[in-house]
Amino acid sequence: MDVLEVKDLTTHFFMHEAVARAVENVSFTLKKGETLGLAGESGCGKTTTALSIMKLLPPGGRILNGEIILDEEDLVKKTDREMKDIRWKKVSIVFQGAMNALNPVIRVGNQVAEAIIEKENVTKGEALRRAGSLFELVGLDSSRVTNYPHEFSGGMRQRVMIAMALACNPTVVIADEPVTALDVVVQTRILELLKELQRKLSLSVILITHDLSVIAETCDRVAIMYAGKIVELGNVVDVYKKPLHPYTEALITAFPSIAGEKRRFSSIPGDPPDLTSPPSGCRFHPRCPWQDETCRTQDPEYRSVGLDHYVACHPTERLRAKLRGERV
Amino acid sequence: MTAQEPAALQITEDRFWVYRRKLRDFWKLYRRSSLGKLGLVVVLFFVIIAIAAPWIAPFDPFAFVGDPFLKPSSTYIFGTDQVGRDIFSRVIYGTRVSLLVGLVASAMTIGLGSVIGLVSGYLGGWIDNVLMRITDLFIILPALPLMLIMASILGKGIMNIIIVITVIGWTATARMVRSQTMSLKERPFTEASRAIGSTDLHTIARHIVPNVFPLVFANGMIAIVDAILSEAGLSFLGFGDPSSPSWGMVLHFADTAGATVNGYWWYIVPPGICIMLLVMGFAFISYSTDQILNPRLRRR
Amino acid sequence: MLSVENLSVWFPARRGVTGIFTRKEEWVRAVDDVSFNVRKGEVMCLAGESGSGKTTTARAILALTRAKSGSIEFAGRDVLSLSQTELRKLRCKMQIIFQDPYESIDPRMSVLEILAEPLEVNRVAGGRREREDRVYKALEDVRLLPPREFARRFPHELSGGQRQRVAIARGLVLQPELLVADEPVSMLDASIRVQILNLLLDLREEYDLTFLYITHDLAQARYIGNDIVIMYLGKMMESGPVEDVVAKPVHPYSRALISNVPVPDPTLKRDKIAVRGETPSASDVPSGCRFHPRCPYAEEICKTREPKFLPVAGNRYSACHFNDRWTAQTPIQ
Repeated sequence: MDVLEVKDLTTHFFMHEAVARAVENVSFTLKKGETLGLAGESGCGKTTTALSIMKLLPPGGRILNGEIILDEEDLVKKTDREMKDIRWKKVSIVFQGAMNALNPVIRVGNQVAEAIIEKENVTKGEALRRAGSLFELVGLDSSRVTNYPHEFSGGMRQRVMIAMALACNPTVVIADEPVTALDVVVQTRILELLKELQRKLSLSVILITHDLSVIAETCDRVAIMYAGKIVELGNVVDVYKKPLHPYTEALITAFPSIAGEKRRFSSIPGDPPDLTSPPSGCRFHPRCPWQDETCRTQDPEYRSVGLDHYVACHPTERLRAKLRGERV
Repeated sequence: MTAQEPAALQITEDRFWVYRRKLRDFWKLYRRSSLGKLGLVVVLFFVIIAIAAPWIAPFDPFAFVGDPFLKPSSTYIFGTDQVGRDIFSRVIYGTRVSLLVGLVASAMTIGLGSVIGLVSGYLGGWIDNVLMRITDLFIILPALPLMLIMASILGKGIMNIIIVITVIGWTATARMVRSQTMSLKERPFTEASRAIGSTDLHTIARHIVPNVFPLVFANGMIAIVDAILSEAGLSFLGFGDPSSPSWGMVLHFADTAGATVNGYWWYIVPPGICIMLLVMGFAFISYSTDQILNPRLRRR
Repeated sequence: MLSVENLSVWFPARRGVTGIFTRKEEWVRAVDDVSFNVRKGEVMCLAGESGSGKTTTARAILALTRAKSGSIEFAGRDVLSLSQTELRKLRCKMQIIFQDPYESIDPRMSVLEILAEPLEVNRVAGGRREREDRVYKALEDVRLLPPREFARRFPHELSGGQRQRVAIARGLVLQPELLVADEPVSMLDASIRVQILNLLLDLREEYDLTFLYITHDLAQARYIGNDIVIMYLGKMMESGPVEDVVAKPVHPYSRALISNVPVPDPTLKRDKIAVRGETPSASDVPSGCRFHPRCPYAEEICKTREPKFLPVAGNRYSACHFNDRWTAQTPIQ
């Protein structure tokens, strides 16, 4: 069952001198109870996509096209007032670096309670009680609601942020780089917590990160984004083991790891493009070893190539061979 | 790139081209701000008046050319003062004094403040302590009484006014430069400079100063405003140089002649408006410059 | 090439209001009794999480931070005993690449100025022409071509990867023997990382450089390193050839760390060793073995006595009271 459906989402940033085409024609679905990974490098549009879903774009950002269907309602058409009832109650977000965004002079319990009071008609006492039980849910002692942020370690503050995101029982949670700043050992614990919460509360999670190894270990499906477009989407095993898009393939094979063969990887040449003037045709073509005339002029269609596997690449010989299962 | 830039950049000449480019980029951004352009126009207007004073002013500002307290007319555009001097000419020559004091005093203020701030911020330790305690002392002392006392002790004279203003004003710049220097000291590129083997002096000159400069420049504009107003205030209160027709001095004479009581508005309004306009001009420039130099203020 | 012995870097801790009344000196023991050797032409990795002291160690080796005790022998001289002028001369031979490509180069200088600065400061290569040539050569080395085009650009006109190349070029321009790299690719995108790592490896081969590579990412360490020292709270926990240590770690901390590092392979199921708590602050170091409050195998002795850094096999060392217990275990992957 699809809990969230994004269709042809296009978001641009209008700045003084130019327009950054941050997200273009992005489509994906989020199934109930699954963790969908949104992977890509900086500037690929993953955070913008998340902010578009939440309708929390910074000034200059505008959704130009597309639909975001949550609970049979199109969020794109909602006004700001209507969104206030949807944010946090149906879909919430843990922002990037959120654990450092806690107000240092307010007790954490009050900060979480504030989120509840904003959205629901409850007394302060009731809100604080709920904050306490939320703490228990995320593995913190409920008595710690009276602590201040500096009394928590990094990992614990992230738990507080997760508690805050869950405050009003949303169905969808977006986590933007939830473990990037944490030590590897704490990282495991937070990711395990997310998995556990997902099970307990039947949450559907969109996990945004640039770290492919985190996605490999936590997500069910993954969408690889590049320069504002999704280049490949599919089951995590399929995408990692049998990548179809050249970018995915290059990224996954050139990812230093502590397991696997020790050898020299060949890197992807060039740099990610400037989104105010992206390359013509396929945005990846300047860096693609297999690009040809079509790639330079035509934007490839994002289409299904198998069981829930989508790719945005021209049907070249290479792609066809890959689909047949041959090694290229 | 312009056709004039050499194909192969020589290292020492390179800095010249670097500054030229920066100036050009700065001007491109500055042009966008209408407030900034307005400010620039106003200031330039006064500067031109100041330079062209001998040719523009109809009369000698010190000469007694007519009857006292004449109303504005075609001969005496702003009328005459209590001893029959042409107010219009006095106001025109007053532009010179106000601008001079404004620019020189502010230059000395931020010069002194910057040096102290740089030394204090970069070297730290007991030097920092001592310098900061001295700064604190000057901050605590109330400005106006101190100004008045110093003015009385030093006596009349433009240079003395400049000294007084400098002595009162350097503390703000010092503290600001110090805190900026301290934060710059921590940034990786400063550390990198040490890592490649620079002496402290080199690091300060090449890395800290250019990065502190935007702040100092914006602050400098405010210092000019302060200086002009301080001079006007001091002169008005009678501590200025009676032999120079600064706007403040004109107002001082206006006051002692009872202009406010007797309604000689033509005596009071022109110098007052000039002070206001010149100050606003610099304030607008400061605002626009700050918008550009402080990247955080830039709108998207 | 580089020999570090018993290096300790302690910082005086800030005392709160109450501290004024106590006599006791509070120290932040950022680096405590660290020793290792780096052979010429090798890449030595200092690995550890934040707060482990790896960055402070690197800075102490370059004399950017004052060490409390120990010795650092580089090119036959003891770095810690040199005067300021002698130190500056030695600096030509050891350079550093910082982590942040946006902050480690002065945004107000052009690339040409940034790269010429080390030459000017050290009065190397007299004459403008020569200096310029050296700058262009460095730009070619880091594959920023055409060099004349890049030389006239400013940092804000470059991408992150390009800026880091400029930082590397700056490290090369004095033709050093030792390059210290402090997390040089951690702030770069994944597709650029391998580019830069490969570049570093190429440069090492071409110029026979020696690297001291600091990182928290064991995958990077494995990719680029020959040897590794794993640090925790200022002390060395384990050291040895990187491939061996990562495949068959001995020390409980290494074992836990390595088992928790995620791997970009969804089909690989691994047992992750759970470790409770988070790294404490270096001003409040646990007694005995510093890892004992979090170690799943801690016993009484671990709380009271600090384990010695002893050899366990070949040139592998580990600091645990129960070293022999672990060497017998099977690898964790």
